[in-house]
Amino acid sequence: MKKLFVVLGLAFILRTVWLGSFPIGLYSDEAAFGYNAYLLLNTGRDEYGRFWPVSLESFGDFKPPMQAWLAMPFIKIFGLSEFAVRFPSALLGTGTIAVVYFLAGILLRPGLAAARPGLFRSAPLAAALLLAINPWHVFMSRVAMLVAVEVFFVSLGVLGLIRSRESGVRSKGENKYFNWWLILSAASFSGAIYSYYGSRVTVPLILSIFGLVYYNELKNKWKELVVPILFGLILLSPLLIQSIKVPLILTGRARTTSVFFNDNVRLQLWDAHTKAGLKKIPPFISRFFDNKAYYYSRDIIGRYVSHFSPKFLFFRGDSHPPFKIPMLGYLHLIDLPFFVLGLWKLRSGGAPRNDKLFLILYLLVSPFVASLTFLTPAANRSFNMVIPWTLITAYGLTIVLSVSRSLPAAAGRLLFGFLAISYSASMVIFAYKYVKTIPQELPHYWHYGRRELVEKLRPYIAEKRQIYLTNKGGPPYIFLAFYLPIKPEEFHRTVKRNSVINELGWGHVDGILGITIPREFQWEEVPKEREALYVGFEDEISQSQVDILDRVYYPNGRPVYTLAKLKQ
Amino acid sequence: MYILSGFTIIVYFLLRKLLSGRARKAYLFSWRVIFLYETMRIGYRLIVFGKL
Repeated sequence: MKKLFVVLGLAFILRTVWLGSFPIGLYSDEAAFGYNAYLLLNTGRDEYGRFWPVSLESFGDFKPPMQAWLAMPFIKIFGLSEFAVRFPSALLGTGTIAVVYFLAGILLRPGLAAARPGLFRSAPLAAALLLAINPWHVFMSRVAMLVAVEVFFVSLGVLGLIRSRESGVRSKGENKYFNWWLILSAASFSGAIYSYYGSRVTVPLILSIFGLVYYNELKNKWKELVVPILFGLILLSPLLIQSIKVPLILTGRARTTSVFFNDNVRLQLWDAHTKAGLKKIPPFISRFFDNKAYYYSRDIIGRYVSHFSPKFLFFRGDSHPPFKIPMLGYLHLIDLPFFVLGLWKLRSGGAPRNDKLFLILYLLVSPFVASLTFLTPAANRSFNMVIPWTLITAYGLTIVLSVSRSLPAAAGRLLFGFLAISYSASMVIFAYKYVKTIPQELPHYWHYGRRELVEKLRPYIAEKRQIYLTNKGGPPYIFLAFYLPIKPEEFHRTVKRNSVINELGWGHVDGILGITIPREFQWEEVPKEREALYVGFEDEISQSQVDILDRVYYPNGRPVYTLAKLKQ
Repeated sequence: MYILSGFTIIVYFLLRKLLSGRARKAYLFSWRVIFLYETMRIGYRLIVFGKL
């Protein structure tokens, strides 16, 4: 147990050091969670004035509320800051490591110990350590982007499910309706559903595979399921009731991000039918081979498989903002042989058959929700993979370490040294990319420059100068609200919302605190006023017509924002 | 060619080994359907269009 606390300490340090400064900047969603948490804390109402909503509307989108709820106490303690907003992710990210330790204890250790008695006590510790230094998990635990919180709740729910089986033997007369592990599981899965949209698919999938794999055990204990199911439904009832009124609360941006929204498959199908027509192929044959079901299935399976490609996992990662790490994947390459070995050993010896099957299926269902979207492979939507990945890798690593004990002492030390150096080197590369390369190459992904801009705007806002502010680089109103911060009453009084939602589902705020924010900041079309302040993104403002008052720069020296006024 | 990716092949054999009873039968049957359909489709594309 002492060793676990050392690992948790290491994990906590990796997740909290310079948390407010790295990732550089603050992503717009993080700012939205932070400011809504601030509003809820002070007034009990969100930015739309809704009283304790079960979904936070922001930028025309509905966001799950858990991240904001968890941020509230830390905003109370630390104030409205990047650190306070991200801290719940870091804290629960560290908590996930403890959960994985206990999961490994149940899923891996008994089988390993059965295979080689006494040699495999270290499997849970290996799993905890591997997750503590897992770049993917460190990356996601340092941002308030929902998934670190979601994975904590999902893994805790899985732990509850798995642990509930061990408390199955009961004495005569004991109450059969209460299995506290299942009740914990119901609460955790409900928490996951309040944390991230993906969980609304992933949780039912995990529950289904658990039910299928352990069906023979569960059918004799069905009474124990009644209370947790009712408890889960009670916890979810506010969400379910609200989603009847507003279905978007349940689905979020699922429609606009799904593969079915993308025209790609429809165009391929149209092309195939046209070519078949030109070849005079009977329509029923053409439609048998080229149909929607096949094309969408192929598209989804291709996207699904891409989450297991070495290119995604080890070399390139997610190419979509803001999760990209230049020229680097999310996992240590040195994990790969241990993962393959663990996977192979799951096939043959070790843990009980059902546990092995559950572990494999847990891995397989994790990226399913990501494969239904057209932005693939997606590091955030497939983040649940990190738990079974770690467990299987720990399984392989423990086997290697146990075999090394039968080697001469020098060879064992050599192997241990090689592993220590490999993992350390991999972490150093990740840290370098994270602290040096991302700020230099991708500061715009993290909306860098908003805090600096707000500081520069503060005196102009105080003197109530007319300001025309660009909309580029993330919704500016939320950064103004976050960094000033705007008092709740003043926010609700001055915010001017645009009712038009664009084709991708994004809304717009036309102004706040008297600042005008055109939806499209076209320099030629912006009203020209002698005393007004114009704030353009990168090179939006025609420099021949203005006097530049100030600038905000990226860490690489390129200008982000230009503050200017018309030439007198 | 998703069914020929390394990952799919590993998972195919892994689940074949781990599943049992009706689940295993259903699993193997669905793979047979996929292979049969894909083979027919490859044949159709080659014969009609001369390419995949």
